[in-house]
Amino acid sequence: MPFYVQKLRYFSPISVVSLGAVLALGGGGCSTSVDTRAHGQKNTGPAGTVANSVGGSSGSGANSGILTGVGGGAIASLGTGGTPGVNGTCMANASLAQARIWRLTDSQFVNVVKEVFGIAIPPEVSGAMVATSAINLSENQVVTASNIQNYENSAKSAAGTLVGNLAAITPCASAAPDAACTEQFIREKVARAYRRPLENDEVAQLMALYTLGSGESPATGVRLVLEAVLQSPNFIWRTEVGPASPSELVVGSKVTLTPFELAGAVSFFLTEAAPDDALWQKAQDGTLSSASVLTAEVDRLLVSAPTQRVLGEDAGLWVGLPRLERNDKDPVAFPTFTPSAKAALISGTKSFLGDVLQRGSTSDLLTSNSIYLNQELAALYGVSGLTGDNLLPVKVATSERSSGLLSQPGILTAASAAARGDVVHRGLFVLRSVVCGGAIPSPPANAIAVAATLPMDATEKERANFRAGNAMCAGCHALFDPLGLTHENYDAIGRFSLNDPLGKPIDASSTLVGLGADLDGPVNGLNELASRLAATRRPADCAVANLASIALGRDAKLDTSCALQDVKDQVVQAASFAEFFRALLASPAFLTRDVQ
Amino acid sequence: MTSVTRRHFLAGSGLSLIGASLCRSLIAEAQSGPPKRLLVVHRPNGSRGDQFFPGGGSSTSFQLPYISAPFEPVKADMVLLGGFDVPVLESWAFDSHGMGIIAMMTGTKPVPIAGFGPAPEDVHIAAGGISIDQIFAAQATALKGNLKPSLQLAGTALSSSSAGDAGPRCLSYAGSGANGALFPETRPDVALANIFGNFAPSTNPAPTGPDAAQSRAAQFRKGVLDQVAADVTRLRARIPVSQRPKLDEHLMAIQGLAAQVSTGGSPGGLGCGKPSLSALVGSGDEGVHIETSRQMLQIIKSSFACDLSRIATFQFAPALSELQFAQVLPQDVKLQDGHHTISHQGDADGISARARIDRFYAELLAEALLDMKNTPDGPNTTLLDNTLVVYFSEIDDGEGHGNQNICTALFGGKSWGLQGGRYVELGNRSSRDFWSTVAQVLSVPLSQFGDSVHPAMSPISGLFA
Repeated sequence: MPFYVQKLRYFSPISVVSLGAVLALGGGGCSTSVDTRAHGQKNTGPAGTVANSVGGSSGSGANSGILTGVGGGAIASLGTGGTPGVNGTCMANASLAQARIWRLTDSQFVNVVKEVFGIAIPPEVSGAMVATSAINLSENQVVTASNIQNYENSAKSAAGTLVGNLAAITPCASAAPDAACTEQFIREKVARAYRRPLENDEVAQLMALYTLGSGESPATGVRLVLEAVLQSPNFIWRTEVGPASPSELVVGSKVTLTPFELAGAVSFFLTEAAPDDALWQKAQDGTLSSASVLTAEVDRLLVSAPTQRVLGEDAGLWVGLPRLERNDKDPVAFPTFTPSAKAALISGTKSFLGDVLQRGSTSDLLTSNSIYLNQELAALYGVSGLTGDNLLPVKVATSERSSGLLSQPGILTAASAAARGDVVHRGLFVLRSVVCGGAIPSPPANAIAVAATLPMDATEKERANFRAGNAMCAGCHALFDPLGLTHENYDAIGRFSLNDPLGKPIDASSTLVGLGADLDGPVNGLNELASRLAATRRPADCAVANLASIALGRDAKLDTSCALQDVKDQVVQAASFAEFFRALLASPAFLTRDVQ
Repeated sequence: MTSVTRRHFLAGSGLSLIGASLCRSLIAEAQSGPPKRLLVVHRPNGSRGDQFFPGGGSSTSFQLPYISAPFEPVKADMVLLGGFDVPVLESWAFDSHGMGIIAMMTGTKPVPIAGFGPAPEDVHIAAGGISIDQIFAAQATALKGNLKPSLQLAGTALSSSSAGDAGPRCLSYAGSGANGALFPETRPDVALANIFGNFAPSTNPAPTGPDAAQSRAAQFRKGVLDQVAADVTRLRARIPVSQRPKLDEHLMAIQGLAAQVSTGGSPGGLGCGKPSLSALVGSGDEGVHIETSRQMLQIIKSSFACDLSRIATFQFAPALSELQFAQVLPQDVKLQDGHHTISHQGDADGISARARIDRFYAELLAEALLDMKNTPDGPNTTLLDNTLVVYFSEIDDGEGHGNQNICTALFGGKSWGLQGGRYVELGNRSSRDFWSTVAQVLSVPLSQFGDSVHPAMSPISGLFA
């Protein structure tokens, strides 16, 4: 789609998302287009994101395309059988992000305060909804007057706490630090909070605040310094603009991240916090610009406990786990599904996701038989031998839990209704979260009325059959209902059963259509679906696109850069997600930023 | 569709926040009588028209049906608007709830913003342009001259919609997209502190002398804020042009805080007083929601009375709210489901339960309106007389999810020329027409508002004198 490559070259990610969705939603129907980009054929423009393609899959088959919504209810084939590595182009010479400032999330703010000054502050910092998401898009931010007021409140509160224990945080270990001690504090501690050394005039300005307050007491002087630091844009915003002077920030040029900016980019992505001592040291002595040092630092941080937690939280979002947090089950039908079981299920699913992304193979996504259980969950899912509340990874011998992501009870439960499985949301999960298919529009206004013509007690299968027979519904549902039907052996809380409550065998068969030649065709049950998906590189590419979105602070599912394509190829070649972090963070295209 | 933001309006008018605050006293002097205020209130999930409107066409003699009956004490200050639509095109295939709010407040087509998760409802939306309250905040002289250009408050953040989904949660937008969404504050204590700060109304006993500690604290705060503003300015010069708008908003907000330090309080009206809030002791989500809503409305009333702000938007709960109303619903219709689910329920229990919830929100608002009616705002005038209150929901009815015949009511606004005690059947007029009517009253030129796909606006005659 060269037209879009050319036209969208300077679009911000959010604009592209908008256009993509416009394409997806126009006309109210669902049909598909095919990504014809070639891996290996490089376009020389800057970072491009095209609205009508998804992450490339140069290996084993057709790609899933974003839905172009031409209406009419018919489904065009999603793939042509060819590979995107044959016909199109990727964007060469593009940095993976633009030169920018990027606001800390509230949790990052809290983490930096804890890390640098050693105190825990309340999690509500700015009160900005967008900023509290674990997914923090750099161009998706605004500071309102209310946010800024909240920052001031948080800064005052934290500074007040800190001056109560000045001896513990100042280099002279004094509760009444003099000017020399305070200046040293600024140069050492504030630098860590700003994630870069301060320039002399910045130190002088903060010292002027110390002088203003020290007329009352030295502690007041330090308090004013801390209040200013914690509200400063140097603290609240991460910079990725390189060392250039303002006059060098010419639109269309490229800047290279400073070692401190690079350390921050790596650290915030992997740990949600500022660089630790070891990483800071390597930024300070300049060794971080060595690829081997950088890779070693990535490897070191990757195996840390915070990273497993951060990756689990992030992946939980893209697989739709928040749906489980706000989705209660029918207490009559599922009396054993207690709030503690739900909380454990959410936590265990995040741990599984963190494990796979941190140290798993790409095939684990669809073939792992590991689930996290404690005593209560083990009883719920028919596994014996566990005691206590602690969640532990358990390898389940039976095939009902051998489909990786797909057979995780937390994900099955999240994509379910209160009293029964949910073909629609389970199918959407596979389409959108596992293979990164394009956005599906909301049902038309009369969908509820149409669905109401079904008997209240209609089964999921009957409902799916009804939608397949109604042209208006089938226009979209035929893409994902067949995927959801393969989950029919699992109930609303993800328990497996061969028979329905009346003792009749459950039919989990369907025929996949419109998804591409590598996926289309009859399929029976979750294991078969997982095997078919696992034979393609689509799930790995999709996971990489989602991970890259977090690392880059923009929606990378629409990215067509050769740099990201190379990263995907390296992950597939290594068959390991750990490779993603090395490949992306040490990529030359990650070390630079395009000025826009 | 407009791409003009509040910042651009300010820049265009040559007024920074600081400048605006310096002009305050001059504007106040130029005005005669108490200032006008605007309050827009949203309740979630629609209402049935037959239980909200009297029916039978325009009238000045009517009985209020079940949902609107709590407004009886302020009936003389009320105008029920039948045939009130929000401008949504059928091809705009987004969720009706968020889209309805966006259409009402901005007239724009929603723009999808980042949303993670597989289902259509996981796609977040925001407005395609600036909201009417922010246009008025920037352009309506009668609504300026206050410390906070506008307030955004809500009675809860709980919702089945995602936290970052602006559409169902935001009434106010400074511009298009996620960057423009002004998420409301939902914590009364924080809202109170942010709005009132160290405000001391002049109607309180005068201080006995200069308070050295207070003066020093103000000096310190000013010093810190000036340093932060200097940092913002310094950083702004070192980043690409494309990134600078992020810091423009930041700088404006810091300057707004600094202005607070400089000016201290405000003279306040006759009914001015800083509310003292009790702890939120309501039980469960429902109890906290109810108490939060009461306190937020009280804060808005007080900030109006003290002239700390003249524009506010208040949302009882986000569209798609799934709050369970175990206390509000009578035993015989008590349902396990949350509000949104109930709003879809077309059987007798569902209709009865959702009407009760809608009526309860009317009761809460009526309490606040009565309070405003009993608050003097000048000689022979009350706070309600000078406040135009617009009360709406984002869809017509939970079952239909339509964008026409939205159950809407106006209150107060006597000094705006609004004559109460009426049920006015508009005959399917758009909210854009309504806002253009209000703009006319405020002498704001509103030639373009919302998506350009809509027809030209035409003010509604006879609504205001």
